Amino acid sequence: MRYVIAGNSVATVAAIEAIRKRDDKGEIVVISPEPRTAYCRPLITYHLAGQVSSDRLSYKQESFYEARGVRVLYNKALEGLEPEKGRVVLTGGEKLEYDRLLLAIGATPFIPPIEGVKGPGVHPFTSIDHMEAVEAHLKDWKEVVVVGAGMIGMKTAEALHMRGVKVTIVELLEKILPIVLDDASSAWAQEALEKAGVDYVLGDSVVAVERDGRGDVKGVTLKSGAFIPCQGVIVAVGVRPNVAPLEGSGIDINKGVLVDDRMETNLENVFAAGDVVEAYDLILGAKRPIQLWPLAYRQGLIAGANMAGGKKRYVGGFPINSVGFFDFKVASAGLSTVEPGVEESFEVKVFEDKERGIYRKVVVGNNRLMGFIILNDICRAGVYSGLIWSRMDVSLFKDALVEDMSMPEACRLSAHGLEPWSFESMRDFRRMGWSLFPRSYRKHFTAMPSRIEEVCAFESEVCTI
Amino acid sequence: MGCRLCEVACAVEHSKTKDPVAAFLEEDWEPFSHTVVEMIGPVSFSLSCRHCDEPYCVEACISGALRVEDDGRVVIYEEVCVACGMCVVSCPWGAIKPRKRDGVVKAAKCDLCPDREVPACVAACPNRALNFDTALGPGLEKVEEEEIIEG
Repeated sequence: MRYVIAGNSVATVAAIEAIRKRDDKGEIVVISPEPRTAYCRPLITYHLAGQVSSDRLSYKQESFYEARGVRVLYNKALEGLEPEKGRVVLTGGEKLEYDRLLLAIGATPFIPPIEGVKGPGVHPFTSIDHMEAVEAHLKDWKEVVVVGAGMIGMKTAEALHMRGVKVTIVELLEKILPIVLDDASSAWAQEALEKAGVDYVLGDSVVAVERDGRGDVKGVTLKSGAFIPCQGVIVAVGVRPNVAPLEGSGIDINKGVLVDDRMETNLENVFAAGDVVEAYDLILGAKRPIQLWPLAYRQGLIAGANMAGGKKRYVGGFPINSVGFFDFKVASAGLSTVEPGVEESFEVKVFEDKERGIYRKVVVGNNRLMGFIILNDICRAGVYSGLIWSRMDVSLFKDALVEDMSMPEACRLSAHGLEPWSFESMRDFRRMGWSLFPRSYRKHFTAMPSRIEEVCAFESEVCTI
Repeated sequence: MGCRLCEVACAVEHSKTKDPVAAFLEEDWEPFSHTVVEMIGPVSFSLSCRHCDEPYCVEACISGALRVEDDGRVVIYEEVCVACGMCVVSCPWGAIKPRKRDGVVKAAKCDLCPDREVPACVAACPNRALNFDTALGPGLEKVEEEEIIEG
């Protein structure tokens, strides 16, 4: 049995672990487009900022692959897929046969068709190569424009700012972190940016990168007509699933590679995981690409297990983020951008106290927690994610989710989902013991499942682990 | 019964000096307990890391600081942690919290007290509601630390 894994990042690592749990004999070949072992991609901005040394960037060392008997082909990328012959085409035309194939080829940064965007001085920021290119320019760069105020854009802006570069952020939408924050929390982020001395332009876009006679960047022109002088441009407007090598292979592609709940594609013995896939979104109830590290890990784990004959199912995912820049810290998950009072199907509850730095918002739909935003004090925020995973009915305690109390206290109430007990019920409890407990209560306290999906498996037949 | 002695024991064990008085009154580190006693009415419950088989926190860790050890413990290598908060927001039990020590924030979670034979919370529990046991087998938590109830 030969397992071929295209791509070499977190989904690959998880898949290797999962395969080796079930099959310690099969041959595993990893096709790594980069000349290095799997590394912590999100840490490249930390490295640029000087917070993480280069040896810490590595996610798994050579020894990880050696110990598991994995052959890694460095500097080889997937160029094509021939499913009827059961083989893949690599860089240089080399062909490799597979019994089971995992496509974990990730996503590529999207470069919008802006005038003058091609050429030196304009960089995306998603890999070590990009980071090294930017690092090399840093001594010449005094001013940089970051296009896009998403996660990558904001972390890169922070890193450049820490390296003494004057940064201007340009975002098409009217918000910072537009896919995560709502208007109110974006205002908090903007305040943090102003305090740090970082310029930002919202609701505007770059229409041209202006270059001087030698082809070097001298500034950008915005749609509004404004000109921002700069020597470098970082383009961080999102990534697209890297589906180009798969075209013509007969694999089902929408935006990304479509997979079922076993992470299998429509082709036999071909699985996919990570940023390249379009998998089930637990909250939307539909498939869509969500390019996040934890989901890539989970998908890789499930794909690996199923490749080796296991029976693991992907219950779905939803975006979970925790990001901090300057003195702004946000934890969020699910449908967090819903504005209060805009959509009738959602109940949005907000607690805001500027002075004490508290902002908490939850989005409740159909009596289930659909999303949340928590600023600054993120202690125990995971309980809210747990409520989304478990799809627990929160109608009894939805007010407690955002009430004026510390995060641990709010979580304490929300985790139980119970009405407070009176003294009388306490006496009853002594007499009657467990029989008095609501079913949901017993379930939580007698058999503590190791993963919360087991709780939801209990409630509905949808998911099994 | 909600005495919260486990919290005290945990905070002392994870203090600089491991001395109860110093831990709560003198040290520059804030007292910090990995376990939290959840209490509602007659029910109390000491909640700390479940040491899951397939932990959310390990999946979410962008720096590789959280790992599952061969014996089933889920541990955090603090020197690798970048305090991004992904584990904090991913753990459905809320068992990982950010902890500030000497001005540096790192994720902190139950480490099953590596310096002790039995975790401090278990040793401190006056009515043996907390037990420390190692269970191996499919579907079972390899290292299980259990708790519970009292009227």
